[in-house]
Amino acid sequence: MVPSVKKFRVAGTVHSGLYEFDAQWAYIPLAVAQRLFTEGSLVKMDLAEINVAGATPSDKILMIDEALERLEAEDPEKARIVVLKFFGGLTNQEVAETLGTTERTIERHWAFAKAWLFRAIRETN
Amino acid sequence: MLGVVVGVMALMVALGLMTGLQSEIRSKILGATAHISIFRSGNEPFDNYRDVVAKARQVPRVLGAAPTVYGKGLMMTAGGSAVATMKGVVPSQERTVTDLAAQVEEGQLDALDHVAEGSLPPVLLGRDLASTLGVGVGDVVSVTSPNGRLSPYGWCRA
Repeated sequence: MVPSVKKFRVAGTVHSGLYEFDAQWAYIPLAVAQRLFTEGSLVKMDLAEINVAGATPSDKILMIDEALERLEAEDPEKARIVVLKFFGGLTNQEVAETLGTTERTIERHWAFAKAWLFRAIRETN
Repeated sequence: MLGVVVGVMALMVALGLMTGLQSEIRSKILGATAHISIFRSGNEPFDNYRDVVAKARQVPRVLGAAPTVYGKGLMMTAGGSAVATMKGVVPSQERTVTDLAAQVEEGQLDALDHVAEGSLPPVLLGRDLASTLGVGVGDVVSVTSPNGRLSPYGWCRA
């Protein structure tokens, strides 16, 4: 396994009176724990299920936007697919028609772009 | 006569101590964790945890429900290292389930709400864990978690 390392700043201490808890437990924000511990399931949640118009925390959108800018510098076509699918809400078929390519290519590029973006977002964290 | 008095007194004291101790331990344990934990089988994360929390709240006589993610990690600082069980919480919902807010000694439970872009995320450490690591409020800890890393081929597991 490839371990991931994350830094935290101590915001306080907890004293429950039970040594087993006080010597072992640490509390972190739920969203951070999700990113740290729940593996691949969050890729889908972050990119495919985010509703931009809904009550999504703005920092998530900013993070994706920042990562997208870097993807654009590296591979403009894939970044365009992400913009159309993610921000535009188009289906694979619609994106394929817009870009004049096949649906299969879009699927392949979308899978790559998702993995790339997820890694980029994790690294900025 | 004196023997009976002393005997009854010793019995009462012992019973009182036992009962007090039992309720003290029970309240401490139940104050630190939820009375009921709901997990998905196979150790998989929930697809939509908000629905599960909402459903749990609808059960009669359930007073509160909160989503949680548990994970283990190795915490490292300049002063030491320790294996920690990390619990991801939403402060406003955690209040309905455990006494965590009252158990926070230094700082505030609400500090976990403030995840600012560009700064390190906050962590509340158990008192003895903090002393093992030799850290206090404002210090930085590194957490190494043994989960996989994403690659174009999926999750790497060596």
